[in-house]
Amino acid sequence: MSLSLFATATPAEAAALAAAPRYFQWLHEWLPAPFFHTQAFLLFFAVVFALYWSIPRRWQMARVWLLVIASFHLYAAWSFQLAFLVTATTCADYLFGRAMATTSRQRLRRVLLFSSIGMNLGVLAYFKYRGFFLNELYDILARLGYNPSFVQLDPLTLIVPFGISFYTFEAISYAVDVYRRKIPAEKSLPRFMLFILFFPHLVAGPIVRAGDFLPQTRRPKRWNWLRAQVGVQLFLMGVFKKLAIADRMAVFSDPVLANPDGFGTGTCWLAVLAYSIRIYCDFSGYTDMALGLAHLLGYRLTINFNMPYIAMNVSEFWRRWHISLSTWLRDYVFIPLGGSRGGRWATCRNLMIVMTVGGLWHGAAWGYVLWGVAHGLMLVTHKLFRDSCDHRPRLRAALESPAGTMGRVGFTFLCVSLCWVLFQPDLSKAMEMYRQLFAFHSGPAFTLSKSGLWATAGFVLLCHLLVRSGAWSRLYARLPAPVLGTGYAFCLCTALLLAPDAGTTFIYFQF
Amino acid sequence: MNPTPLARFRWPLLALPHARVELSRHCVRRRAMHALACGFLAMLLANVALAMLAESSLWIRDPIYADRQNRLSRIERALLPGSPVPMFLGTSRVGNGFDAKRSGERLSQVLARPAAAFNFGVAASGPILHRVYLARLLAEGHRPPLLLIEVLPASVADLPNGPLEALFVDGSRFVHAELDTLAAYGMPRSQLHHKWRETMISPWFALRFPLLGRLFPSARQPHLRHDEGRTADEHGWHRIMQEVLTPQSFALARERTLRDYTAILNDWHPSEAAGHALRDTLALAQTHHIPVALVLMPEASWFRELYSPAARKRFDRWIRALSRDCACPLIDARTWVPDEQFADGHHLLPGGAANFTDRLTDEVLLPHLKALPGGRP
Repeated sequence: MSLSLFATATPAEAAALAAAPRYFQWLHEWLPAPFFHTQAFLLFFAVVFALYWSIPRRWQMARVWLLVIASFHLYAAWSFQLAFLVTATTCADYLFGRAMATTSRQRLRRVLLFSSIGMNLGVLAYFKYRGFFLNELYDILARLGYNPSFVQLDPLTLIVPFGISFYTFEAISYAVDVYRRKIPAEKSLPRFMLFILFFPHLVAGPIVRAGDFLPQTRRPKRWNWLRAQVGVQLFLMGVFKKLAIADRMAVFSDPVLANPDGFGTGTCWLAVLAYSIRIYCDFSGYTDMALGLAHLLGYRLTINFNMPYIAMNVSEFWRRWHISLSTWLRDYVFIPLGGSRGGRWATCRNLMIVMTVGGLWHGAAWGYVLWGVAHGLMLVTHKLFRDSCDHRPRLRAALESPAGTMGRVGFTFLCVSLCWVLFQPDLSKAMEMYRQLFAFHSGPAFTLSKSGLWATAGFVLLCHLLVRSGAWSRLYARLPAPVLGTGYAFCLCTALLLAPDAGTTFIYFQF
Repeated sequence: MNPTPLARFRWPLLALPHARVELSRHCVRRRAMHALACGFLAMLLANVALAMLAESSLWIRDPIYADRQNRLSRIERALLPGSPVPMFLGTSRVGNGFDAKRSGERLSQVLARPAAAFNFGVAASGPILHRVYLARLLAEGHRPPLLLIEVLPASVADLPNGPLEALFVDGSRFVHAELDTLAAYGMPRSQLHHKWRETMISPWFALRFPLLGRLFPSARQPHLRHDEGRTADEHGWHRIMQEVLTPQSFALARERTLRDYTAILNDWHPSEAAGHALRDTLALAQTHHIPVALVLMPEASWFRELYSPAARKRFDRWIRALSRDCACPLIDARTWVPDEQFADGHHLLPGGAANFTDRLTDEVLLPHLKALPGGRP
């Protein structure tokens, strides 16, 4: 089986690899990138899994070290320099935390907190936002008639560490929680390193909190078949979502998003539908795999998705979509800004700030920023509308009727889907796409039959209904073990059968 | 808004009564263990079953061949026993250029008895693949009264990275017994075996394109369906959809042809391995007493200019020597069709295919079939 690596190395990555020691070059050849559904990763995981469970239970620290070393190697196989960088910043965060715990001087604690946040955001800004801001500054200066003394940066010459946005937020939340005395500073360096570097969540989340994760590192793990079953089930579900749904939808959405001018309006709308399904199944599929792998090693990570496309409004959407990020933004940005305590307009302002930060967090491009702004505007509009509904009982009753509820779900899905068009680095393509969506003209359709798209959309909807109605959990409880086992095999075979010719990388890996 | 209406909504069709029996912790764990064990076994079984099926039937492993072979069998069954069905084995040039149904109708008419012809032109094939195909066809019991074999100059050229066919063919299309035959003609042995092993270890992944092409063809892009055998007509002809080319599409096609063939043809040298495969194919046919003829398919005048004079001379000398050594007539049809009847300089448009088919039928197939015992009406 060669579910091989799909990401192509940029010139900068290739140059960094060429300069790496032989050991890391060999590691890279063997395990080119930390994608969970590749043959190389599965082999890597099988080795780690076997070693992990063969270590006696009472040697919990040895297991922690094993996972830290494995996580480091997984990252170093992609880029050894950046693996050392992540490890170094993790050690620094550990020291900041320890220092905060050992002093009671509030001022010093505050300095340490800001030092930790500054270091993490500095590294994030340097690697992820340097090119974007410098290039924008260059353009502005050039437009104003100045001759900038620096050159524009080619994005291909920049290496952005995998998962930098995720582990930066984890480190910041740890520092803030320690500063607030919500959690004690971790005394054990390996345990703290495992919190940041644990490979299932290292590259694309979910964003774990120290309060949830660190206690788990202290508990000796006992092999549990039920947990293993949950892990396998989640992993298979993730593989299925990625290979059988997300990558199939990419076949419909990607050509249209790359060249909206070449397609008719109807096709563009279908591409938006396909992209919405793709982005959800891609990211939630990755998260399911991460959760499943963590369960197989005896760890529980935060749930990141809860059927976001059946949300009845955009506020609810954000309670169901990328939950670990939205709760992080709520706890560490929205509430410190004043949350909803300062009246209507202050709340709206805070919502806009939070969502713009959320957009920028996703990527250093105007498309992502505008996506965040659009969601901020939708949240503000929803808040104002909800407040106005309080004085209109008949409208409220109509909206809460079954038809009104369906309408709200549909409208929320439509708004969210239209916003996904912005969710790409090239803003001009997004604008072109909007023009095509609303200009109503005919043009070429997909090269593939649309029935595949409709069938997949119908399948996703059916799964949502089954789970939402509770029928699935009731059915699941009654299924005999052989049926369940055969279902796992069927799920995996179908995912493999539907896998694309040259797969796509995970969308959220770039963040 | 109250967020609960959807939660309160009952889906009547999906409603199942709640499980009444609370399972003990021990039972739940045992169920989990059994489910995982069953899952593992089911996966193993599914893989073994598909791998065995693929090894025993080309229907899954090589649908392009299997579909054509099925059509050939159907045509042979539909005719009276002993009716002649000459076959043309070749590349996409043959696939597009030989309207076997038209030829068969003409044969029946002139011979005044049931006859047909079959087009076994497979895209991206060459002498090595033809050697394997012929062995398979003979094993299936096909004995054409005349076998035409196309010689595509590019496929018998000596290239630095091995035969041209190796670019398009991998080990997943062959059963294990065929791998050594392919490797003997210069196909990369380790690559062939690696791909074949993949189809044995994880057949649901390695054979997903041919499988899905059979089960849900519309779920795959056309180039991944492996359905060339099904999209051709009953007699194997792959008609090009355009009747004439617009200047723009001709320019594009010409550009692609020049890109693909200029370097190969300008400095053409014979490949020892490909020549060896071609000789073995001819010998195999002759061992089974099947008359064979070599065919050089039509080429547009500008395409023929891609050969340098020296390369043309080398190729002509080589093919004549081969024809003489193997005692096979050579049909040089390179100049039979005018330039405007080509799609890209070497694949024939329907008009060109009709011209070529008629001339080939009249000048090659009919004289040969008439000469057979009982051939003349």
